Amino acid sequence: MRAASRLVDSNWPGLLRVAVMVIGLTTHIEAAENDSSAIANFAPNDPPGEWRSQARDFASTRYSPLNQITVDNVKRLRVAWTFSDGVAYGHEGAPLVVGSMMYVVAPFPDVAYALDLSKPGSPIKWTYAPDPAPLAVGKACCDAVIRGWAYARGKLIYNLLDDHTVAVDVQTGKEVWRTKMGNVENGETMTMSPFVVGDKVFVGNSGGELGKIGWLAALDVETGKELWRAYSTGPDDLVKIGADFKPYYGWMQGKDLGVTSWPADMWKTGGGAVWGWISFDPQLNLLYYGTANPSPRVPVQRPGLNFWTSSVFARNPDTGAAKWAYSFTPHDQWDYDGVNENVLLDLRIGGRQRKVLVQFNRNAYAYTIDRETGEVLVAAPFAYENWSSGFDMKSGRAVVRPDKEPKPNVKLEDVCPPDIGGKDWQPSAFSPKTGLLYAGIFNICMDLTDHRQSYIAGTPYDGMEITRQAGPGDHWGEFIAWDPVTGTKAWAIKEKSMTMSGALATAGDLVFYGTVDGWFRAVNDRTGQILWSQKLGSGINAAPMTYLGPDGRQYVAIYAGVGGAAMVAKAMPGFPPRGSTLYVFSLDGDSVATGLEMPQ
Amino acid sequence: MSDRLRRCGCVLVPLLGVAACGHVPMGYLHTFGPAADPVTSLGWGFIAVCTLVILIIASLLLAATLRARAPQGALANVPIAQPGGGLRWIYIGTGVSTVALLGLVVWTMFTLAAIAQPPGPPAFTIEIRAHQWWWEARYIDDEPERTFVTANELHIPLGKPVQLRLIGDDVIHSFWIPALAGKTDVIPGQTNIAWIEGNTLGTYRGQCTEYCGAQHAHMTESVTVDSAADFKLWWSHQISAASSPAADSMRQGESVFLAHCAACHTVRGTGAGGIVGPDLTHIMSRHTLGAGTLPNDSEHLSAWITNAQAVKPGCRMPTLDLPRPDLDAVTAYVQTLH
Amino acid sequence: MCFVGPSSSHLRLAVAALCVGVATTLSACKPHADSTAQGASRALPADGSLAALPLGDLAGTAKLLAANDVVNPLAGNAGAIEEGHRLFIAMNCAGCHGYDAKGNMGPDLTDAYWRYGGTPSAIYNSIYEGRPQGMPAWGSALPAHDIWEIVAYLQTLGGAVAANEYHAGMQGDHGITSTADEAPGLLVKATAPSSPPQPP
Repeated sequence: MRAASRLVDSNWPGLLRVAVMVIGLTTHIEAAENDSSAIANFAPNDPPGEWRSQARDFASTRYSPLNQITVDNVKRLRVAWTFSDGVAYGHEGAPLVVGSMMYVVAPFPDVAYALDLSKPGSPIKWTYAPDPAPLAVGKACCDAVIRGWAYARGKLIYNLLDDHTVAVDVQTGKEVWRTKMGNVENGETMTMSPFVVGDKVFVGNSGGELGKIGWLAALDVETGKELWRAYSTGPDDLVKIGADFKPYYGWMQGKDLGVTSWPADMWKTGGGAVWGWISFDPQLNLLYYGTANPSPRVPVQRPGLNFWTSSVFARNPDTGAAKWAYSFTPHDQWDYDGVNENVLLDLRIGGRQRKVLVQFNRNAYAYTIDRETGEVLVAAPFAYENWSSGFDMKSGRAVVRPDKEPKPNVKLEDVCPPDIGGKDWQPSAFSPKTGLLYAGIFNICMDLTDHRQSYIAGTPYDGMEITRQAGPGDHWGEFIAWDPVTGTKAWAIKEKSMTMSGALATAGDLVFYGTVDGWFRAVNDRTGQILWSQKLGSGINAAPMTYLGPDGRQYVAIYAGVGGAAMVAKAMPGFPPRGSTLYVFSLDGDSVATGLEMPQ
Repeated sequence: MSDRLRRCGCVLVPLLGVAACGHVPMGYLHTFGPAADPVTSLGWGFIAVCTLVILIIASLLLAATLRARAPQGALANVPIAQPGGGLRWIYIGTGVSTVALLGLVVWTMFTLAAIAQPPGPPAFTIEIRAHQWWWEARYIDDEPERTFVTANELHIPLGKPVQLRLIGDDVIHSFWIPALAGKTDVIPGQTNIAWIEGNTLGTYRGQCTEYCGAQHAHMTESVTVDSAADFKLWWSHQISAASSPAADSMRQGESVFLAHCAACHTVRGTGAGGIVGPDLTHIMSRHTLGAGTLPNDSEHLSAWITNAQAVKPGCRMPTLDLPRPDLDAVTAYVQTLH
Repeated sequence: MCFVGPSSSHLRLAVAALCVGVATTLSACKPHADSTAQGASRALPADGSLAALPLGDLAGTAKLLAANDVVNPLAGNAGAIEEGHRLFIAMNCAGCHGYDAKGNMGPDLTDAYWRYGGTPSAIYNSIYEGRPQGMPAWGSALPAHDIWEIVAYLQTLGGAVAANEYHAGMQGDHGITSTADEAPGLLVKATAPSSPPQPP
């Protein structure tokens, strides 16, 4: 907004001024206020006061153009209202706001609520209880969570833990369609947030820890009918690898690598689940998402590079055909996955403007990858790691240290990062004004003993016996600002406990994040100075979001309900109990409830 | 004297008979591969040298005892000391012994060097995991998809060295195919490397040779040396997955198998992925059950499945006591796993 | 391997015994379950008796009689406990309940909280039948003896309820340091007022 207004001279005719400002608002917002060249496409350019998808846009910036709350007044933030869904499992998703309605879905049993923001106290307009199967609770590896939900064409669409995808009419709260995606008896569950592009919704599975092969599927938004499904291992036709597929590096080229890089038939229990985030580039017409770890988690049982696990895929959303892929950790020996969010940015690297994606991978490397070709442009550690002795840019692979390769029944001490990584699924945010990415990361290491495991359907196909401890410095968490061009930290805030919440960046020059011991903070996005903190009722694993209420006021909302992978720290003194409360903040705590109109 | 001769004969004749025979299952005097041949030659060399030594000493002893004694009356004229002659024998004896022993030492060194490493790079590696009381074998290929797991009965190609990686899982065992390779211990917490090669087609029996518990005696392995073409066929067959049986009658057996056996046994191509017991994907391509305890035929298979403890008490396969229809069904199903 | 000298038969016996002793020591084998599968099967409770054990409390005031006293025939057996631990890992129990059995996807098995009962027979049933929130049913995959071995291992972890403490387990009586009198309910006991304390 400010950038666009700079282009406008007050002497220009009014119509021209408006036109330029509108163009500035609806297309790219250039970061003209600093030296960084990082820009993002904010398509689908939803209304600035709404938050219609988990990441707010296709590029996964989690950036809001709202600027009522600024570095100067953020210390006035107070609780405006709260909402508790009464469920004790980990709360990982962010509310959606469409018009004057807010939509939230609780963890298992996945009850959805529509809250009317126009009325005092944001009362429940409707409740939808899908009654998923209790069996799913015991098949979810990492808590009975739900990581998000989606809105499309008047429907709230989300995944039930027991492998059904449902769509709910947002006016009435009645179920529109329900599609069976898998069989929970065999250990498959669904926890990820669906991702919508146009008339399609994309969903993926969880269950790699139970030997389930991973997949991404496209469903029709109106009917829920499955249009295509691409698997993460197996022959090329199952993985939807065809003539269009052109991975950048030679070691990823070949026929049926999803079979030949596994011992006989082991690709069928190979994992590669798709439980993380999806991004989309409307100009290239490509979806970007990651696959999780190979199965079993014991590498000696599966010699080979184990394609296409722990990788990022670029796929055509209409057909599912793969365009390119890149494997972050081939023959992943530590459960580092590849499912973290891919933020789509345009950057200036090596004198050229490049279309890239940036992923903070669990293996502690932050990758800047050309999203047209899959070439790695930058790979730099953002957290302490000792599993590799460096990154070879020529081959596009990190060099594995042989002494950090686990052997069965031998305790391997001090492997960094641990299985949950230098950063887990908690999503980062991008600010076009600073050109920086903001993320909560970990400073954790593990002691690991592998046990060879049988595959028994419906039970874990796992084998990693792990204890975790803080890395160098004794702090478990850190919230960082990261420059994706240089691969360096701009600033960092060390936290005693894990920082496992999503990040939110706003045009008010603020970034928000939460800690696992329950602190919700607002930070100056340029300097890293903490401007405001509020202790909440439980640890924070969800992503914050911000919206304009029907009263024209800016609110910031965050769930507090610790769970999921944050439970690895539950033995720490002072670790909070479970929670289920959504906290909504505003300046001075004002809201529709207090009957105060916005000052004109 | 005739007694003594008879005794010598009793020892030598059977030995020579055995050597001439050469086809004793656990015989190690006749070997069929370069990992063992040098040792066998050395062994026969030692036997020859030692036999020669025995013969020489025995004949000298004989000569000394049979030498004529001087008549009684000439006793006063027998000299006390006899200068010269006797010491020469000592010098000869010591010299010959030294040369012979040194020769044997050098020969031993060469033998050890010959069997320490295969003559060329190994064609592939078999990772052998010794369990109580069976042998797990993983064939490792450069192409991961050709890596597979089998048990107890190994195949190797004619004339090609194969590396063995020996890994212990529970207690100390020892891997020994007398006709092909010497004993190498399998020790938990340590990986021992050995190699094996066969220069004659055939099947060679082996045995665990480190006491490892109640069923140590029933822990046999075998190595079959195949022609190159046959070996390739065998490997391709082993990596193929079992297909779901077409006949409905077999389906019942398959579901009995999945309910009762899949937690411990793997049959690739089905959902059975247990690694506690041997891989059964191609069980019918093996000739014995229970690591050489029973022949692999219908009747013995049935007996083994229902009550393995009666056959091999203490082994890890539990007593299933299946009802007759289930037992018949699952036996029939297992018999489709070629 | 052993060369027995040609002298007296006593010496021969002694040397033979020494050889056997040395061989056994050198065999480096781990102790096995004292009871083989065959032997213990005869002592295992018939499955029918365990099936009679209800998951809830009996409606009314009746107390459960026989089934709650079923003892684990392998409890305390060192070989069985070690086998049970081995099975706990090999059958992927550790994957859900943690390698230290302190819970992960599945609940903590070392604490005193047992939703489906913590006596050996209740634990046996939970393993045999499975439970609704994702605990698989192992009754066909594992024979009874193996399940009792797993129960024997779990009984060493500190949280299990003793076989004859079924009702105490159901009433949550662990770590009790004193017991107040239970209210008489339908039966009201008349008590004489106690005399006030006499001044010294």
